[in-house]
Amino acid sequence: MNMNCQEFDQIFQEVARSHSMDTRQRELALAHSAVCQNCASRLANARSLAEGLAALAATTESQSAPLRVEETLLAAFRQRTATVAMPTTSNVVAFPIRRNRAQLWALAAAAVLIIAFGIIAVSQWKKTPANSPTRELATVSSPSTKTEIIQSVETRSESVVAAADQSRKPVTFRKTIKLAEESDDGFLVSSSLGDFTPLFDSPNAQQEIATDFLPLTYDDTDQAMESGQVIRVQIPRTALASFGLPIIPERANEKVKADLLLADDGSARAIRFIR
Amino acid sequence: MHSIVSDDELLNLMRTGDESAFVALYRRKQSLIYRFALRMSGSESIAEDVTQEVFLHLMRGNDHFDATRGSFQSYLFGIARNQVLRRLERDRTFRMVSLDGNGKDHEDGTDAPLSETLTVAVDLLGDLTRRETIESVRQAVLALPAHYREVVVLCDLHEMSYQEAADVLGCALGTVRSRLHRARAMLVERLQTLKTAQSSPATSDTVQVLSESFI
Repeated sequence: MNMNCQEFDQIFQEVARSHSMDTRQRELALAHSAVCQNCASRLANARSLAEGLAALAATTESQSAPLRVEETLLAAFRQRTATVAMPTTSNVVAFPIRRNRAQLWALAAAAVLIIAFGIIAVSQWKKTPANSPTRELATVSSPSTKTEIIQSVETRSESVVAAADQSRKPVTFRKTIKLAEESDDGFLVSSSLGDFTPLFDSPNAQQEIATDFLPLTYDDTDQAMESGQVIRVQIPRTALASFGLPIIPERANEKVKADLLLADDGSARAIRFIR
Repeated sequence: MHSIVSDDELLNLMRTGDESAFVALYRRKQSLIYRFALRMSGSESIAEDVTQEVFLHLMRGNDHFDATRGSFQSYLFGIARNQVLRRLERDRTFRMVSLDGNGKDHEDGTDAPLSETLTVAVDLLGDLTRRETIESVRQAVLALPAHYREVVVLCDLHEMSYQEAADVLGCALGTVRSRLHRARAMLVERLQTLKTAQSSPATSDTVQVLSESFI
């Protein structure tokens, strides 16, 4: 029994790749290609393609993801594990998901800010323990409302202003927000990013112009926060560039005020700039 | 110790917070995922991002791996495939080249009639250097429409069986077979075009035969 071109078409690619196939079928296909020039050419092309694909596969066979990917993932894994292990009322887990290089730079800038702030705050607190009013807000249990525990160490320094300012009079809460805390420094810490608003009754506060909060985490979804803290910091004006904001070259060496929004786990979630 | 632990067990350990299980699972699978993404996209940056996204997805545990629906490896490839297609769609870096001229996809799994240009009397790649050959094949693969490209990458470059590829793609085995058949034909056709373009004006009988076959 001889094979025709249509039957040959069904199996010639397997024949070209020397796949394990029925010996009889293979012999029939080869016999057909010996007498049919068109099919012989197709078989030769298929063999060439198979060789080319095999060569391409071989050239990329040893390639693997760079080490930095493992490092990033490991950091994310540790962060997640630590967050899950901590007793918390929040289900929020922040992943440093890389979405593009601009955001990666923004994340790096935020990380530097957090570290710098931490170092300065700790050093200032150690230097002036007597002058640093330390306050701990107690947990308030209520059958109808839930209040977050917020421990805050208030510090004063030239570069960091997070302490209570007696000249600022806190004003009333806006609308009805659950899980909200008003700290002595006049910031309202509430349940969602958009509700973090400085509520000062002072002339200075009214003159301040702030940008919107710019997110510093890169998950696909907006993560609601049950509680957090807003701290006022001063950062180099050049940091504005990381967020796509313009910089006046003549003032590049100056510092700019910013409000940093911290989640319960200490990670920075958003930042806004103050003028 | 983890070298003898199955993928499924490592996944379960990882989800209980076992860091060494996560590292073992990552090191076992990352190169496969990275190469798949690289071969699909032709971009190291995309391959890197996709690899990261795949394992972040595992960490989040948004959906659960079901061993009855396929192997863990197929599950990983499925996530990677979705990520790659999303990236390619977003970036639109690669221009999809339709080799049959009408740009139609044959989603029903049927084979479209192949062009007679497949039948030429020469070995297409015989006179190309090895490097040129590899580069030509790479370009031809990247020029394929995505759903043809992925079957070539899975079956021809990753040497998966039709069934494994079908598990990854979530389609019937026959669909994989027919797409692969057509994709290979498109590759041959593409390589012919490249070959013709690289050749000098008709100075040989071989080129003459090629040229006539495209008219």
